[in-house]
Amino acid sequence: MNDELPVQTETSGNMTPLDFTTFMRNYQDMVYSTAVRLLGNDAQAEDISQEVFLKAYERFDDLSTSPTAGGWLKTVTTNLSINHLQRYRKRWSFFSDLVHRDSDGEDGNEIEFAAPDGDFLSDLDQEDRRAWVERALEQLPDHQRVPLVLYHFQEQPYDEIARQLGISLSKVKTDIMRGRAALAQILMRSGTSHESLTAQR
Amino acid sequence: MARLTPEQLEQKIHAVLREQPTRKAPISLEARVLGEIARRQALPWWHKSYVYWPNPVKLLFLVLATGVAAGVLLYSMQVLGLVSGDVLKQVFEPVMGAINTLRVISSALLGWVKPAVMGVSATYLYAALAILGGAYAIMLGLGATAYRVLWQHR
Repeated sequence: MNDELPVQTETSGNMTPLDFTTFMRNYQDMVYSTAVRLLGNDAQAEDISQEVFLKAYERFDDLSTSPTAGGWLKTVTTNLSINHLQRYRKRWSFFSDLVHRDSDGEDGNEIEFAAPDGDFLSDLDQEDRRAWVERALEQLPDHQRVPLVLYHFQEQPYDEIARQLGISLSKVKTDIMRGRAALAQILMRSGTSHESLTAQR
Repeated sequence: MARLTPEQLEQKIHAVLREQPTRKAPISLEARVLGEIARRQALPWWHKSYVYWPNPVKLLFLVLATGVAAGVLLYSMQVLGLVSGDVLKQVFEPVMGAINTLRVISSALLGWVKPAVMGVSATYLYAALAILGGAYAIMLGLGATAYRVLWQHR
């Protein structure tokens, strides 16, 4: 991650396209990665990344010299991505997903899972592993992928994720647990298929 | 194969996810952002939010908005009997004229619409409401279907 990179800008406060371009190049991979993992969609992640940098441009005078610019960008990316999912997908899936999500909930804490003794996808090369994991994440439903990403990639605690998503703590735990199990199943299927994903793409 | 406890599964998944490298942003992103910035900068001030308006225009807008707010407030006070109408007339003669004109127009419109609405049978009103409700439900249903067919599996 490059969210802690120092920003190479002058401290005069004068904004030039060159300053901002350098700023964007330093952070665009981090912003895009955060968005694409939360959204599970490349095109939407690019839209959100654009929106994030337009917001950053509006307050570039502050951000250009701020040591916490990376954190600010990550927070804005996360919030915009979650807002996007809540605003659009929940509205459109009113008759379908929402009903299932409500019943998803508060039950069982125990999920037993059979897995290979070694690591997932250990027989694949790094590029194939990366591609399989990305594709597996994209296949998860939003209500499992988003808390999973917030927990494992952004290392947010359960209660903060629950507060951010506006759902109960037990639902967060259940969704993350089920997300892990679903992800593991997808990865196991992927690992045993012996296909090269890079060749498919 | 081994049975994994939730804790073991968490550790395995965490290891797999944390070793994922950062995704490269599309090459088009930089051009898109810079293009949008240029487009916004080229917009005239009246297409932008208040923050970007020129200072004289901001000042003028503030004065006008304050005047309108004061006028509405004083007129309300007059209606409630808190301020004498004569005082207001002296201060806001032209404004009161415009307000009176508006009052005459709105009364005429109300006088035209009210009998027309009152003359419609209740059955027609309920039928219209039912049609509106049905159309709304159909729109939601079509939207949900379109989402499932066209969008959800993209």
